[in-house]
Amino acid sequence: MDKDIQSDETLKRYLLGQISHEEREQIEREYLANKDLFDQLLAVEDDLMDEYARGQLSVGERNQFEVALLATPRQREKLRETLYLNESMRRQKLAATRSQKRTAPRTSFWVSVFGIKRTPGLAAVFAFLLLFVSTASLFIRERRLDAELQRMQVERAQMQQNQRDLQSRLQDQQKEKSELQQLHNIPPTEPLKESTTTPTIATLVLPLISTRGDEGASFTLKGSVDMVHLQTPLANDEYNSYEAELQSADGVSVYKLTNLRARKTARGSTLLLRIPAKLLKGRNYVLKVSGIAANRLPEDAGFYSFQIVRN
Amino acid sequence: MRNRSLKRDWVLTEDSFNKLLDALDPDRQRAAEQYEHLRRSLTRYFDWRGLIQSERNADETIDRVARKLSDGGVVDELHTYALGVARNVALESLRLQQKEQVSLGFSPSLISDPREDEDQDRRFGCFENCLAQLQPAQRDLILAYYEGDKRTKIANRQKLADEAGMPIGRLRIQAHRIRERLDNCMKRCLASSGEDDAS
Repeated sequence: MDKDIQSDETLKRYLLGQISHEEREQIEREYLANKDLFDQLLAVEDDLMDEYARGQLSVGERNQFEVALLATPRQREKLRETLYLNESMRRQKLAATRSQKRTAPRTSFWVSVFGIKRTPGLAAVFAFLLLFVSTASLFIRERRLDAELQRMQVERAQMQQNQRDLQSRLQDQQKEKSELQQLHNIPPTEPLKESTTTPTIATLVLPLISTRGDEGASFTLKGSVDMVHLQTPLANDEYNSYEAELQSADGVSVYKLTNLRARKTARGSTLLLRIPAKLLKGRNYVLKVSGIAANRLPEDAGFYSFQIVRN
Repeated sequence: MRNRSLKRDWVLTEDSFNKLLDALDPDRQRAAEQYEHLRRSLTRYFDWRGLIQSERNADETIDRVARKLSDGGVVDELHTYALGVARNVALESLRLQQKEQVSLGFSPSLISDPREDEDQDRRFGCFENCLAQLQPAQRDLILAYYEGDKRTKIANRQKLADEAGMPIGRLRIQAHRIRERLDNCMKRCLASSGEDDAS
């Protein structure tokens, strides 16, 4: 992979739309295939959001950021979360600073100095020196805390200003929208709704049954679920690997997984199967698990019956 | 907004989906992981192009790639092919989106929810809860990672990476994953507290 493609600077320029068509294609091809580069790109996006929220981007970069990274409701929600993260950090830090400030020297220390037999003159000199050093240290610390507090207040004011700017722009745009709607006599629209980027995963824990005729568990699966994790307890975990075949109740094969390994959990050994939710319709299924014996032949290791209800 | 979408005249079948998985990786477990990555990265690809229906577009792209494989088409490099398809889907979707916005007088605003101030306490409450749900080491890392302004922030991060004995890039990805966890927790919290308000 081209080293330059992996640099944060290039990825930042990609996100801001500042790169050539060729570079852009190369980056896109790479991150579709390379998970590490994709994660790096998301981290660069987080940093850009953070810099925007703190007002640390140049005017040009701010404009490009707003065009490229605030175009969809999902991206604007991400910015809002960054603002809350920063504000929450400030609050946490302020609380931590206050709690540090309140910490006083412990009496056990004084006991350790004066509680044992010492020469009174030496103890007095030591006490004086200690008092002097403590006072100076407290004074310096106080000054630092004041400076830190002032800096945070300035940052907070800047943040509030950013929020006011954003709200003012929002009001302008809403006014403009409302005028346009009046002009065209169109009713107001519902806000856009968008689901999350991260795949939605449903985990279903199957009970072990002995025969294919048994009635199994029933699970309701929402339409928004992308992947289903089936967790199956194993009655027999002596095999090195397993195969699993998902069948419809009438015996038609739906999905097969090979080379599966048993996992030790608090409830005993289990298999974890990842199945795209698209494949599961609202009906009854049987999951047939086979253990691969030393002679490489599959042996029955469990049947699981369950029903999927779609809503 | 009316829910217009790209025209679909083909539906992904089990057989075509299996062919797609085979093309991603001969091992089913790894193929499923690759599928998840492909879908997730395509979704962000459409986001970064300013397209609202990013997940739907990602699914449409995957369907078209699967259809090509199902019809016996030869695909030498699947990700390059998927990118070509994604580009076409993006163009089609952009045209549709522009038509929607023009016809409805829609102009994208910077903040989608006008009740921001009313929501503030609820959001801070959720945020504090979500931070508290992180493991202490993760919470410390994310707080330290975003501490300071531009210069001190860079120095802080280098110090954190040195202390953890990892390259700075690795640290950033760790911080991003914690952010994702926070984001997901926030979404769940806001959705559930919204339901509470409604009931």
